[in-house]
Amino acid sequence: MSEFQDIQRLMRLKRFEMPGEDFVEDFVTQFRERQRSELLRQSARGLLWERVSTYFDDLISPKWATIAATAAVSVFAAWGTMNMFGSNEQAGSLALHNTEAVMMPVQPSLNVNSELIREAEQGRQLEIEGILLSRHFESEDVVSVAGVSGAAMPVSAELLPVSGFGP
Amino acid sequence: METPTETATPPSSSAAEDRVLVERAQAGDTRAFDELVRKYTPKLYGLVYNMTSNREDTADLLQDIFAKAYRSLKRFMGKSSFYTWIYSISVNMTLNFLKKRGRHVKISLDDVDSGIQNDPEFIKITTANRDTIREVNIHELQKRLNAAMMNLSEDHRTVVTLYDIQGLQHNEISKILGVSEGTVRSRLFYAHRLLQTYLEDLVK
Repeated sequence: MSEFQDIQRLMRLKRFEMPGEDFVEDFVTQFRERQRSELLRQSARGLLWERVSTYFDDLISPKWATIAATAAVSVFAAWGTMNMFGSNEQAGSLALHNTEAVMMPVQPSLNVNSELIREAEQGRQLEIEGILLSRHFESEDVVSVAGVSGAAMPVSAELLPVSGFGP
Repeated sequence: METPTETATPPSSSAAEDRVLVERAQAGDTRAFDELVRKYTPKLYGLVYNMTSNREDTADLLQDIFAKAYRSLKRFMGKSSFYTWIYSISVNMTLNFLKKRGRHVKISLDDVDSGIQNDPEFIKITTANRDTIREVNIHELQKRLNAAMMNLSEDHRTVVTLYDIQGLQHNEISKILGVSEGTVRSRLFYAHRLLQTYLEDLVK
């Protein structure tokens, strides 16, 4: 015999608390209606989606629309990226120049190529001297030829010997 | 030793019937599921009503319970009986509902079945405790029992509902709640002790 037998008996009386006789049938009917309305709601959503997609199908092929949208996004992204990098590079080079200007001492010349440059300059000087000398001699010939033939030749005054103009 | 006077456990033929109905419902036969709803509504009503003490909440919650069971039916693999499965869903959803509802409880009582007057348990109690019970109106008794139940914690109320009112065995309750049989017995012991304190004048 349980010490709680009386309390258990008392609690068991609660099983008499029941809804009315029609409750179960009404409940099943309500449940069916609820299930049906959920199904209808789902199918209404499906129908709306179908109509929207059909409309866009007629308007433009979804495949091409997707491709066009993707291309537009890619171009825009590329343009944005280039702009960003361009401005970064400019800003970076400016910053670099500024940094160099501030940090590096002024260098008058580069010692590395100075001999080559000197040689090249000497070579060029020699070449120019050669040209001038050859023209000089050419002009003497011209003068002498003119002197012989008496015809005035168009000779540059620079190339003529100064002594030739003397009194 | 505490023993329930009757058991709510379905016989094996009932479990076999359930299996057939579940298979048909899983295949898309909505009438089969309606049969399951019709069969389990009274049992689950008792469970939910005795835990919430509110008729409107019970009806709404039962709708949600069966709707969830219908949605989850495809995933029901038959590892447990449908009976245990639907009870587990009901207990979990009712406990979640009670947590959300908090302490704002509006008690609404169901009509007591007229058969209570002829019930041997009722006669036994009223004759054994004639001095107290005979003075108590049935509806007054109903209010007292509901108030005592609502004073219990949700875990204690659940085991009292399943064991004392619904007549389930300890092992079935442990499966439904996912706790050991020892825990079920322990919860029952404390719940009974508390109820005895609350209803002392009725069971002296």
